[in-house]
Amino acid sequence: MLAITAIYGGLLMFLDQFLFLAPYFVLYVRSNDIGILLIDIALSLLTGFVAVVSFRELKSGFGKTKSATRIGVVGMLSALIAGSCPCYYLVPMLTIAGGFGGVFGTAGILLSVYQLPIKLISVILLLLAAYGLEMNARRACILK
Amino acid sequence: MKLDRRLSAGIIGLIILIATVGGVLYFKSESTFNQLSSSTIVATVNPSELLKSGSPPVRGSLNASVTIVEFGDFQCPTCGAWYHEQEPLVLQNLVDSGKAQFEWRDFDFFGPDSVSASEAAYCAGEQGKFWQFYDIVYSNQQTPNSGWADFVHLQKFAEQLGLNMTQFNASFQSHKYAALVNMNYALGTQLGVTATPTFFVVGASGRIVTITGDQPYSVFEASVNSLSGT
Repeated sequence: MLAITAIYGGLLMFLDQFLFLAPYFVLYVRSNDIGILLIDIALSLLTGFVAVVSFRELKSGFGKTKSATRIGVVGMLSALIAGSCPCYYLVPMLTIAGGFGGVFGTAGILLSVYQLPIKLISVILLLLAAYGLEMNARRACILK
Repeated sequence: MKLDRRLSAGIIGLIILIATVGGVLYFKSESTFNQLSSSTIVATVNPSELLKSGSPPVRGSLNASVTIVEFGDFQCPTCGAWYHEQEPLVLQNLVDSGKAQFEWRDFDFFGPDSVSASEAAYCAGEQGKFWQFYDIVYSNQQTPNSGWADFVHLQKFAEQLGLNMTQFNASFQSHKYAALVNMNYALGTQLGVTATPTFFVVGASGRIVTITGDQPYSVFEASVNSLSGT
């Protein structure tokens, strides 16, 4: 779980430009972005939990794990997509799309503008997934 | 049960995807740095020579041994964040002290208003007010492509700076800096710029340190010191 949390958290922090690998390894949090960092940490912890518990429950064949897992996966992915600054990926995307003003450009800008609400929705989705998985495990334990 | 296996595979796939993307990003940033700082590549591609092309707007002493070249977009929020938080420190401690000079080149990719803003800044430069225009544009930055950097707003910025509006309008409407904007984009692409802001810190020997993103002042200080030998 710790490894997944660390990898996911590292990637979120890289995409949010808190973590830089070149020319030097730097961890830097802008004063205005402490809230986003806290959300990233929450997302990473929840992702680690949901991924590991989903995997275990699916392996054990518990009843209602699938829907919770699906919600969790949506939460993990949307947080990751919303987290990435368009300044990082717009240039390659626009090269593919053939110039600015395209769908990719607009989508990238919208994702960046609505980064905070999308991340908050991701937290809610992951919390729902974690709750679902927890209840599922309890039910299974009671039955056993 | 089959679906359970698919979901398990999906989770494993997601973890592998995250790890792979992370790895690719890591090695991409490492290779960009290595490519531009390696003397063998400098000899073939010669990025420091490329960076000398044209005559971009410069802040600071022309005798400074190190040059910090920014490739930026006036509409890019990360460039705006760097402008507000890090640039004052860079200017105060590295440029004003004579250690480095600061050059700006546009790398417009957010939308047509980015190009307009750059062209307008160069038009203001004709009247000796490029940097004042640069400051006013970044200080008024809003959501990209929301119309804040269209011609009407750019004219208002020019008026606020007391520019000769007849000259400014004529210069802007003739698009005389369109070729420069295209050249800067081509130059940035040639140098491997894939994001803004990207900075090339160039030493007197031609060695280059590449800094991508809104990185803190300490990175600029360390890079300038390593290239100037202090």
